[in-house]
Amino acid sequence: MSTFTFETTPRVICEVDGALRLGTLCRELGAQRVLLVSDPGLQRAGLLEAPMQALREAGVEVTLYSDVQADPPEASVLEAVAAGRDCGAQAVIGLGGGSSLDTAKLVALLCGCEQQLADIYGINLAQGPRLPLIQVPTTAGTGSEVTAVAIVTTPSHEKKGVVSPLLYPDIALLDARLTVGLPAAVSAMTGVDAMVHAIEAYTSLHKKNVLSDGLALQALRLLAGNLDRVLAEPGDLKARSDMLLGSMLAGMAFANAPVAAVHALAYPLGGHFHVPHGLSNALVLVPVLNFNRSAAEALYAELAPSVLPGQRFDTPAAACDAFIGFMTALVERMPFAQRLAEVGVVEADLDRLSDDAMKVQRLLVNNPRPVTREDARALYASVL
Amino acid sequence: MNHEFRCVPRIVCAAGVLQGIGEVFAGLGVKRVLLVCDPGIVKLGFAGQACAALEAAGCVVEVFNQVVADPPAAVVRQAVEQGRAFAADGVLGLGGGSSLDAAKLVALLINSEQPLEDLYGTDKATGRRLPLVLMPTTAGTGSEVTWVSVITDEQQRKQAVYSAQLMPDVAVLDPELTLGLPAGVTAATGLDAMVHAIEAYTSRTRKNPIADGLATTALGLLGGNLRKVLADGSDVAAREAMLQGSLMAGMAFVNASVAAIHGLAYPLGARFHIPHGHANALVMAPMLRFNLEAARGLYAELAGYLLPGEVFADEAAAAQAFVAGIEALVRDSGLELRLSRLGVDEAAIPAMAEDVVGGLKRLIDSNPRDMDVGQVEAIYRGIY
Repeated sequence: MSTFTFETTPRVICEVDGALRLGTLCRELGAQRVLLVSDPGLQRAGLLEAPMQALREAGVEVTLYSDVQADPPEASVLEAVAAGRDCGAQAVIGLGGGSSLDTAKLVALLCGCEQQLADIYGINLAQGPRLPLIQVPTTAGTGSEVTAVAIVTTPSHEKKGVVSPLLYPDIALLDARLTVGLPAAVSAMTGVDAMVHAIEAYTSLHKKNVLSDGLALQALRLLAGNLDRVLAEPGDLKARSDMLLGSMLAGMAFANAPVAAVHALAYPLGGHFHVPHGLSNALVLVPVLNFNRSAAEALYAELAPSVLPGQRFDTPAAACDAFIGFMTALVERMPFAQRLAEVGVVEADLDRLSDDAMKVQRLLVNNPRPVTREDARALYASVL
Repeated sequence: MNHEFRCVPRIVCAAGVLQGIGEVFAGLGVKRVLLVCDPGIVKLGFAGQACAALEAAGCVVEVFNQVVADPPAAVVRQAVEQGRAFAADGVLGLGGGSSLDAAKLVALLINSEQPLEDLYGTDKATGRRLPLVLMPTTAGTGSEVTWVSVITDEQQRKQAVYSAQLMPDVAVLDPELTLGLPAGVTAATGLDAMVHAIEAYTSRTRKNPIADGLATTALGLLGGNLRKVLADGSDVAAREAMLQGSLMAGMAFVNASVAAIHGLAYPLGARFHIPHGHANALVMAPMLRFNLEAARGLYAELAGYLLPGEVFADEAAAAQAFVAGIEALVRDSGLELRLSRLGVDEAAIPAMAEDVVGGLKRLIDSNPRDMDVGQVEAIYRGIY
């Protein structure tokens, strides 16, 4: 029997050029003045002009905050909050990758209530209310549009998280048009990241449930079926839409059945070597799958039909082999670094990385197989 | 590739969670709860348990216990008056689909100036509803995760209200509430839920990848547990799986549409008061046969979920096995399956067929195969 709680974003719109409907959607949410939260790269790429024009045409006054930085520093979040207060924003739109969406969550929350950022780090400390919030991801992806977490980097370079159901937006808007220009490496890293979300949700030790399972399986099906396609045909809007949907479904799954050792081992790579989050996950994924095999063979076997539709497997062991084999081959053909040495890690770093990975106990406890410090070091060493 | 998806933002599932319903309302900031249910729920003691749990959490409760099947508009109005007089600031719907549908409208109207009849149709509601929690006691209609409410107006016509405002804040599943369901109700509502999953997956109008993932998971749960709960109604794990499957099927169909099985079921309910689930069960198997060629590929995909572990020679064999599997489930359900023995007047068949093809065209449009009046009549005559 399974006791569980499942929370998610109440409304998802998946529509090519859906960003041109942002004006109408803001009016529906009762907002005539909005803050658009995005990053300099998207502004340079010209992706913000059409949505902003659409907002203005719907009679919505839009103020742009486009200085979101990767791994958003506290100061940048507070600057965005000030921009929202200054323009009298009645709603917030996050448009971008995970950093923009995380920033937008906190802006909507802190512009809507009296609490300070420092007061809400932790779980369920935010009291709300928040301003209406629409999240528009431009990678597929972090799944941030359907998670209740925002991560901020403090001045002491510590990562702090705000966890609250108030951070689920009112609307997640998936517009494949915004993702056709993604560089291949970014499509690949974020796509593998999304697959890791689905895999780790499905094998999550404590909070896995039928709903997260169903969403994870469908996510993996969409992601495995379309990742190669978007790399070969970046302008394929159907494949891009399916990647966005897969990423979102994986997000819905892991928001309720948390990720585990792949993420725990990935975080120190981001922290010390500034490896992008998706790449960090991709680097340690295959070693962790092999490591977990003894504990998770049956679950990996259940994932096999999602990545290899139509294939038959005689035994769970064969299905598990096929699943790990599929993921190994997929990661190997991705256009990004395959070894830790390629991102600047040397043997002498492994102790520090292992020590830091062990600090991520909140995720390690979800892993199907316990991970010791020696295990962590061996896992890193195997992909050095 | 364009889809819009709405979802209840929070789901809580646990055996015995009725005892914790007070905390669910406390989390919503509610102090005065109107409980909407039927006399049966009072007799079973569930209403009393809900009141005790709510009062223990500091809430004041008023009970409206006069819901009846296919709730008449007058009942909804009466509940609204009682709720206003009591100054309710939250609503709990506890029961089958009729109680949940009534509770949705009550939560909306207590807080609104709109007359009930102005809500009939799609997106007519202008007000904002009170906080709303829905707890199903059948598995089920899926009403706890849909934004639809169907009632019977003063002219004995069924009227549907579609509004995002009807989606509850929380859906709460407690399998203990379904342990005592009579076998006939268990069978009819369980098959109804399976129809939701099947028709969502084969919907010609709004089929989408999110609904697909939910529908397939739902079908696996429902198909794998219906015989178990019919054999042993006190099997809590199987009852829980049925509730979870029903909920996921509800999430799927409300975002993808149901189709002709529901279309043919409605006149049986409206004209001859056959309960909704039973009416669906009656037409389900012959309709799947009728659709078989048009839906072959999709039924073949569903075979993998209804009959896990079975191997099929080809797509045609898988589709056949799926339909045969459903036919066997319906046959073994113990439900009366002949219209003639359920008080249906044979002379009414042509008029019922007109009801379907004329009045419920949107459901035919979602069916994998078109239907004319003669084909609808033939289905009715086949089960007469």
